Amino acid sequence: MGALTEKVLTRNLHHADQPDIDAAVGRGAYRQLARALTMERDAIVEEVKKSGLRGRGGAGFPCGLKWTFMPKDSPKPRYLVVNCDESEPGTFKDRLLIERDPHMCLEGFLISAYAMRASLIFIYIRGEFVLGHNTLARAIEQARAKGYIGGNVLGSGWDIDVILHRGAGAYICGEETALMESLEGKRGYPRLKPPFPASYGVYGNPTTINNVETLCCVPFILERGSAWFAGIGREKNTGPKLYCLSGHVKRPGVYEAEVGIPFMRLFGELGGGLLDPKRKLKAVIPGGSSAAVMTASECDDLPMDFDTLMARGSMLGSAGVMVMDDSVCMVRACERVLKFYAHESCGQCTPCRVGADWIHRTVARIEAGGGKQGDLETLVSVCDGMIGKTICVFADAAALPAKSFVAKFRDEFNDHISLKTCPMRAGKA
Amino acid sequence: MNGELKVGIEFEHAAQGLGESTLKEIDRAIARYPRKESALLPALWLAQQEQGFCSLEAQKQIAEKIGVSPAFVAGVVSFYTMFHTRPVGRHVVDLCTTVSCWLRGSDDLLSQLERKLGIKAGETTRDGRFTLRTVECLGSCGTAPMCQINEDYHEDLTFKKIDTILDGLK
Amino acid sequence: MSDKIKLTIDGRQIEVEKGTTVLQAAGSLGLDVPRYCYHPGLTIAGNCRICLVDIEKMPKLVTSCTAIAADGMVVSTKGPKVEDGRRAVMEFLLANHPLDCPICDQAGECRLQDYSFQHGQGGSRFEEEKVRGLKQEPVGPHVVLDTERCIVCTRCVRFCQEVTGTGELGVFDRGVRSYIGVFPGQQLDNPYSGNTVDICPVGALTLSEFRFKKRVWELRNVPSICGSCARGCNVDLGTADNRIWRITPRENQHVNRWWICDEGRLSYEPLDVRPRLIEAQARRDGKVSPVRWPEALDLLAARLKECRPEAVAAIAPATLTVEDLYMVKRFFSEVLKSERIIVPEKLRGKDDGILIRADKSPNAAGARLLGLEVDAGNHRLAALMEEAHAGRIDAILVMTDGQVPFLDAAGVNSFVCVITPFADGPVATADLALPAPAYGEFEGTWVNFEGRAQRVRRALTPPGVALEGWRVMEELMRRMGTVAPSATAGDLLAEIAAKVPSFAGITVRTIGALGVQVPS
Repeated sequence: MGALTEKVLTRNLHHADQPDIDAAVGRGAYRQLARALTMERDAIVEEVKKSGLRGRGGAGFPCGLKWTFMPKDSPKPRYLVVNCDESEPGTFKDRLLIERDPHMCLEGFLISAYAMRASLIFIYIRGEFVLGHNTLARAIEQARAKGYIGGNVLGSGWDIDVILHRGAGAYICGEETALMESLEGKRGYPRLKPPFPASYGVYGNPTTINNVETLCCVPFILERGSAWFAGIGREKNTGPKLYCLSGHVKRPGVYEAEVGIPFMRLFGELGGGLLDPKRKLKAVIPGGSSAAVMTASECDDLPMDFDTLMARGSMLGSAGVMVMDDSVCMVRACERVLKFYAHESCGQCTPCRVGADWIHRTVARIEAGGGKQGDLETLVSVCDGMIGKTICVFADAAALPAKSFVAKFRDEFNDHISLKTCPMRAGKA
Repeated sequence: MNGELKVGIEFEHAAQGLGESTLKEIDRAIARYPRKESALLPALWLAQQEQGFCSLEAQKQIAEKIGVSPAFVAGVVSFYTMFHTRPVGRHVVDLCTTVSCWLRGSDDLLSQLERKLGIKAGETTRDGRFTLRTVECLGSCGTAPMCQINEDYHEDLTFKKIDTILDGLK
Repeated sequence: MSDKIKLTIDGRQIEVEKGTTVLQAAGSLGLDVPRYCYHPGLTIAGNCRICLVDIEKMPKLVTSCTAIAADGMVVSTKGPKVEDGRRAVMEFLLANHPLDCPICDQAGECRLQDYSFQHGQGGSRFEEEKVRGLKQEPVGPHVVLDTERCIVCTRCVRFCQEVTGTGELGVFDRGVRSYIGVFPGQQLDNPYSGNTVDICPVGALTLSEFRFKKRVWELRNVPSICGSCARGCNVDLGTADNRIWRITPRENQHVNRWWICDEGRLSYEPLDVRPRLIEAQARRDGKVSPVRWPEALDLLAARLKECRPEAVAAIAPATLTVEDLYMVKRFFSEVLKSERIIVPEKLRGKDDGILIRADKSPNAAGARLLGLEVDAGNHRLAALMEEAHAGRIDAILVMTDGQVPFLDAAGVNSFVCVITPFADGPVATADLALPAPAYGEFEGTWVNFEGRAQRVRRALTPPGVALEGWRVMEELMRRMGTVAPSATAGDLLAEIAAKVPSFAGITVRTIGALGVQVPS
């Protein structure tokens, strides 16, 4: 189990001309949009619900259920926001999709917008993705020219517009309410919830935010049916999924597989194993850096699905799988992870603003040989002080992995403290 | 590594405000959105395109157009890492140092770059050619290590590769 | 339709309006849930996280400022889980804080101090180097910023966005490097800037004029009313050593909510600077010499008796209290049978739609309710002066705390008696000058422009013996007619309430701390 009999989301990525609308249409793009426009909207939502599609952005929330939160009787304009702020360390799948197959993406966005009665789609793309931005911008113009976007789409009477909005460098804008603030020209501060976006989103109007990959699944669910999608993977963990493999792996990259592909299969067969075969696997971060680190032995029998990883104390998250061999100092790895969070904390809530920096600096100090007895206890307790006390889950995303590093590699931390240096560095010298 | 952390953004002036054509572009950006405040980031991008950074003058002009206070604009500018608040080199080299790039050698790459350019991360070469910065994950972990130079990604970097790239930039 | 919901907080049932937050509901039970970012006059930010409470069936602690009370909700504001949460937040708040309480002006009214005493732990486990910030940075004419003490609660930023709409302050940078500041080259100089200091829960924003002047625990706060305009903002006069050291707003939702303007806040400053009239003085044969009060009053009564009643005028501005103006009016109507009382108009600037009124008289409405017309354009005042110059006026009683337009006592042949706290005004040319109490030294009633009767209170002792206008009038009436003396301004107000229908029912008690609307 794990490998797919055929590629789905990635099937056309190797065609150099796929970003061009004629080539894409020649390979079937927008066919499902045309079909969707003849369907009852709620029937589409129902199909997506039945497919079991869960959000691919990180939280794994059931997509169809999320769509049903949109109020049906609101007189306000309704928006679909596409979250293309892909910034979770270890994650690079959405970028691939928009750069290589923008029309498949747009088709997914358009069908979803139609299903949820939206009149406007915002695509929020992280500022660094200039190529992706330009590719999407061109694709949008082409789609507009062909009548897939604009007034009376394909004669259906449905009007839709698309605005491509470029971020400017802030991880937190991937958090859906921070993204909305940023879209409204503000600092990317996550909003207090409730109210939730479905009732109070962009400009206070009903809004649904979905990840790029999530929406790319929608045309295929329509094409092949929800049963087909639900038949891939296992219950509540369904469909094809893009896994991002990076770090000490021979063939890093994006791999499409069933949700739940065993880690060893993903890493060993698809990724080709360790970069340096003489080394041993030491640790894996399975779902972007916000996921708890797993030791090599924990990876032995590890189906990479939402619920298994959750049950084993980590998460599938964005499926950004970072592989570390035994040359890695785990204290330094932890420091790298925490540097990211210290840098990216928006600074709104006290525990995160101060805590993310605090735990980073403590680990950096330990790594540099300045650790003291008691540091680890303080570190863990500071992490606990951060968890569950902030507006968004960023603080948890910084504190939980930190705790996992300390819990699973405590000896390495202790060695740093007692030797007053990194044992691996000392060993080399 | 564990040095002093001091707050304070260095905001700088430009010789003059934004030119007519940029201001017109900003108006067009405003017209694209249901509400004009959404055009703030696009307006700042346009300002940076013209001036190379978001000058205090530009921030004031944009504040006026969007209908917010200059302090509000400065708050937004300083929140996002891609907006520069002071002049930078013609080529801004953003080297990713997050986990996957670090695993694939970004530390060495950084010290090699610092040596080659004769500056530390965060600094600009005297000739104004390069600014070197370390940045967090750019979403290119499968092709680590990598850097972004202005708009372009350069992936699967070796020092030899980046050396050639930099030499080709005037 | 029931718009009430019932919930339980710390074991006590309470009924509140729908939409009430848990923090507000707890507040109405008298529970002081700690807060930094929450301010009732501003939008809810929910960023400081200190107001965490435990709500049954919720997996995590919840900020009570953001949680809307729901029917049947069971809330604990205490207990180990809540205390742990608050202690953690407290530790974060103090990690980078300079802990410079001995030299911090906020000491004594600092919520960091208060809550760290209640919810913190002794000593910090923060071993890293503290983040350095900007120290003693003037950000405007009245406000000084110390970002190291700042906890980025954004109360001040929201105030400038939401209350004044001026937006001078912003949050710059992000994460632990976040700091509050003004746009480079600009200033926090809106007319309400001092309020940012009041609402700053820590010592990050301090008032230039008050910094290092006094420790707040040395101040005695006397509730009073600001006299800078017709709004009549409720204030506390912070006094010590028989001086006002600062004026801060006192919450009154009917008048000024939580705010005051900078002009009102600093209106005490001239009181210490301007020379005072300490004793009564009379000009005899061109020479000015001090006289004792009884003698001065005898002299005044004698001079007035010599005048043609219709040729006696009073200039009685609406900075005077209702009590003063009432007695002036009684004196004129009962003794002189005249109505030559001029209430000068004092206009400056515009109504700003927030608090500031163009009408700078705190009691113009009170004057009108007593049947005294405010002299629009000061035309009557000008006419009076013309008449005085022409020798048609025998005596003028001037009651003022400042300059009186058109008044040129030296140029008139009339007898001029000035009743004033200050020696720098028209005293120099007066025939008789009587010391009056200055702002902060008298008690009485002012009616604001919306018809709210409020009590201006005595917080200081005047230098020398000063008599309020109403007492002078009483003394004159005793000398020229008859009148029963009032023991206090309060007794006099009771008389006014009985005799003037507009003031029916208005007593010191009904006015209370927050004033009362006069019958319309």
